[in-house]
Amino acid sequence: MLGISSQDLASHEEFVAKHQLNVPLLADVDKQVAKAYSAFSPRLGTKRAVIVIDEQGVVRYRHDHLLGLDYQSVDDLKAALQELD
Amino acid sequence: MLSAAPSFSCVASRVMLTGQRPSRSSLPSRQRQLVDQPVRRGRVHEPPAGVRERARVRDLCAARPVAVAGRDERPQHRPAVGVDRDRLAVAGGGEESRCGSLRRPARRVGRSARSRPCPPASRSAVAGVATFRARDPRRAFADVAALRIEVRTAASRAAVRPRAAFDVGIALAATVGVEVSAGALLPHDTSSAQTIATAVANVRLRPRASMLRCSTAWGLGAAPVMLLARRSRRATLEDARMARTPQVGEQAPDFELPGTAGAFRLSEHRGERVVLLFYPGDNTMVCTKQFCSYRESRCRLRRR
Repeated sequence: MLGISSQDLASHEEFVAKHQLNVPLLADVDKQVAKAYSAFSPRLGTKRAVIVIDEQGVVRYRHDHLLGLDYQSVDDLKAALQELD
Repeated sequence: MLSAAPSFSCVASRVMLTGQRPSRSSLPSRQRQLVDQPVRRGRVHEPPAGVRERARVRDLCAARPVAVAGRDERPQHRPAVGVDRDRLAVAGGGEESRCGSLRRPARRVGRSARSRPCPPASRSAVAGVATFRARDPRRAFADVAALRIEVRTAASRAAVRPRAAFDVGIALAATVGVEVSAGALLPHDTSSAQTIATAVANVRLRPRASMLRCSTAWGLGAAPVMLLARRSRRATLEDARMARTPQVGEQAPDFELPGTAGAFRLSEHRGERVVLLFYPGDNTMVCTKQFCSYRESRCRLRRR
């Protein structure tokens, strides 16, 4: 499980330390990955999206948030992952 | 606790019925008055709550109310402060017709503690989920250029602030799929026992696809709703233009990024299931909540 956004590594480390997060965060500073995964909008920057990639590197699930005001809860993620099994 | 919250209803009236608005000069001066006039003397204004109008860079929020004091003063012959008369083109009261009403359900304290917080300005009145009582809001608002929104209450007037009218108006607009481009609180007749506030707003129909859920709108107050309305429309159009790739079933593009747990290359993790969480920014409200919730139930996800 990985978080990706366009801030730099220092910002991510501060964020992780502040909240003791256990999800590693990746720094996508030039937003290329967000663009490659269509999770980029010029206005909002990185959009909120959840993408599940399976063992063969195939996308098995994706959920894009239009506004980014909500997020997939743990239960949502769990349900999505269970469906793949 | 139920009795502590005043119940109020909001009546939205269409102010303009035709697409072709008459120019100001073509109207007799009597008709150019705003619908809520005449205004009685001796009332107390709240500063008009307005929405920044993008096109003209005119800050309605900053507009000051007309000071009403003396017996001879006749503010009803002036445009209401903050209302852009050219765009509003509010005509006489005869042309309006009621197109719907909002009724705020009584707030239950036990449940609202769980819901998202409201901004202080609107907390007194704008909380809960509204139901719009028109049969077909889209049709009801099809030819409306401006809305007059009146907040009425049967309870103590002191309990509801006039500013609530504007918040309610915005919420209403979001509910039925119209976009408010400019608006202001109007001076209203304080001699009426029921009406506590009146607002006028320019409205424009928005595509149905970008219609917001009312509960969201009511929870957030006026200004963010505006923002959301605009953003959501843009986002919808954008999404329609470009298909989202990779879609389910397609190969995920490889990447390598530095991260807090060292560099990560996707192709090195074949044989594992990877969940990518794209998020807008560190230390923003929703993102923080999201990742903190994942932190707390990481083990639950593992155990699946």
